Amino acid sequence: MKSIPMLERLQSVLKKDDEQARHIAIHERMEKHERWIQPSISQHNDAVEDFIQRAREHDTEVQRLNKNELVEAIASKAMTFNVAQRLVIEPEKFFDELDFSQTQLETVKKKPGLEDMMGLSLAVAGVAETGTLMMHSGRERMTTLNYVPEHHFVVLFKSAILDSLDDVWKVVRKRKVFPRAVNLITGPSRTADIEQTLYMGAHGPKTQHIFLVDDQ
Amino acid sequence: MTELNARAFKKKIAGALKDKNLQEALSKVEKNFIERRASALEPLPEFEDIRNKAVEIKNHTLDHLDLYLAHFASKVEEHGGVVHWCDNAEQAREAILNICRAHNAKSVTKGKSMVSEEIALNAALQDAGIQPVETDLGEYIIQLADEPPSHIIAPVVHKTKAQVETIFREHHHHLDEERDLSDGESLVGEARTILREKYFQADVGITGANFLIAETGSTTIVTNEGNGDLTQALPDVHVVVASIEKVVPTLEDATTLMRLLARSATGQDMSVYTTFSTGPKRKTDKDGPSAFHVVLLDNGRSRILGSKYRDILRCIRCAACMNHCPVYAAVGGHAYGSTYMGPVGSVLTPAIWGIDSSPDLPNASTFCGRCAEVCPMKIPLPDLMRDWRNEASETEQNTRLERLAINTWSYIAKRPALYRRLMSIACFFGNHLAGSLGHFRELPGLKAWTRSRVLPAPARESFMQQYARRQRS
Repeated sequence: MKSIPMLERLQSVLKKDDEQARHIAIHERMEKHERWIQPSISQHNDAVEDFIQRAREHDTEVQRLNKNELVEAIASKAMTFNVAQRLVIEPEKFFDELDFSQTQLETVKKKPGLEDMMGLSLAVAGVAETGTLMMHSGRERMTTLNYVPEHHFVVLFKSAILDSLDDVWKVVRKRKVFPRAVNLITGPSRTADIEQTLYMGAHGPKTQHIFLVDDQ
Repeated sequence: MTELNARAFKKKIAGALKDKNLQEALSKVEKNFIERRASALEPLPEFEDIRNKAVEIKNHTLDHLDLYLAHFASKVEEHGGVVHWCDNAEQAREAILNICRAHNAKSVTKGKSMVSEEIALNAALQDAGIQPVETDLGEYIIQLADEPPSHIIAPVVHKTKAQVETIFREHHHHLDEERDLSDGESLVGEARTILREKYFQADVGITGANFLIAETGSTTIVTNEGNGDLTQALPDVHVVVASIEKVVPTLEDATTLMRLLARSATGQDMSVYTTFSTGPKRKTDKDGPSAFHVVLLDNGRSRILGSKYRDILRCIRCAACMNHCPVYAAVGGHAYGSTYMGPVGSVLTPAIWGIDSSPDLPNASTFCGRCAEVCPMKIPLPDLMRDWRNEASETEQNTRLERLAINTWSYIAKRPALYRRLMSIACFFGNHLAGSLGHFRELPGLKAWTRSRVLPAPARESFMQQYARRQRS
């Protein structure tokens, strides 16, 4: 390996007696993945209820339903927005089962562009600690759907709700390859840059709707 | 752009205090940030424990910074990314320009990054014929106004809504004069419309990093607007520019720090978007950039690591110190004349650019200690500022009068007999001159001090005189 002046400078500052021991120590620490203090907000009597409440506190709409009610619920939610009734859907296998042909919605599977106002994604997990959604990139995923359309619809399975933010890493590490992007999303886009007043829909979605599917 | 000059601090204070718009804008900072932080901490009784853990995580990482950085870099490369090791600002600018040139970039979108401010990246891009577009709303506004940020997380905190409207009308020539832009919502909407197109046009997206994860080679950004994600997910090239102290060992370590960051910064329990980026898009990925670069910047930090200012490298840039600082609240961020302002700026500016560049910044403190009290990383900011004051006094920076006063004081204080003699004389005359009033309303040369206070007169006899007299009787 070629020598890197920056690392050499750091080594001269940090010089310790036992370099071998330092190597072992940092590798052990990185392999252990130790979780630190788990706050009380990450412990739940009813994680699903806590998730719903906290997602709502972050200005997200949450609707509980069964799988067979999804199509109708998504279509009627879309109707409430005065935009072109076209929905960009993530190339996720689960969505193949949904048939929108009997609704007003035109559905497409593609990369979202400026013209796309509504998108539908599947969340990999939800976190009850903060009402956060976890998505990640992959073969059946479209990360830009999380950010480009004005209205973001997300399907989340009840069984995918986790207690603590630290639990996210257990799920991600199960994958063979670490994904290019892991996205933690807590509510729709907002800004407080002008006089510290909160305005919704800065650059990302103006609204976010979670369809929480009862799968247990 | 307004040139950054931290030597002009004293001069700029007077202007800042008289600037009505600035004072109006600053009057909102205290209430908003302080109250929001306080209420965000209520549901987290474990805050203090998490804080102690966070300090331990960062101290451990700094003790092994060379090894964690090397591991981080090897992981970035394993995932197909490229790491650029940059000793100083010039090397970092050059590395980024080379990436842009290699991809024939005309336009670059930027997420919010203080390190990119530290290396004056925008000017370098412009000089090279590449158009940088700041996408964070606050950064976008000050880019139009050609000003540096005045706060590390709320860059346009020094401007009122009316001023923002004026800036938009000056620069967005398509705007109809009749269109109402007086409410914030329409200003946000206007910026959204303009910037949406820029995201899709950009050839390269540049972001900063809140954390670098050694274990996985991931870089992390935290935003509320989603601008950072549009910046890094849409263009074909993603460049991350980060200073070396941002590294932490594991994802769990980053998670612990995340529990402190948003609460200390904006008073949120969680920012809207926290994104971990690891390399370019995989073969089967449906979207994302096809090239991923990490530009690692030292710029004095390896030197700081070996100095008594090492603790400042724990900083996670939450801005709680400046939000709670009475000096910042009075003069705002621009007076500091540095990329980094407030208490963290008063320590970091001389540490990066030398005390000669900023001799007055360590004095920009009342030593009330609120900054250290709220710092989630427990950085002893007043102690570090005191150390810088010591160093400043040893340079040429102090005026002759100041040095004469300090040297005289030191001469007298070291000679108890002389000290007592002079004190008894001072007491006698001081008491006599004040007369029955018992205090001074005005003193020659101390007008600024007595304008808002009175100086109590000394007792007729000093303590030592009284003690000696009572011992005798």
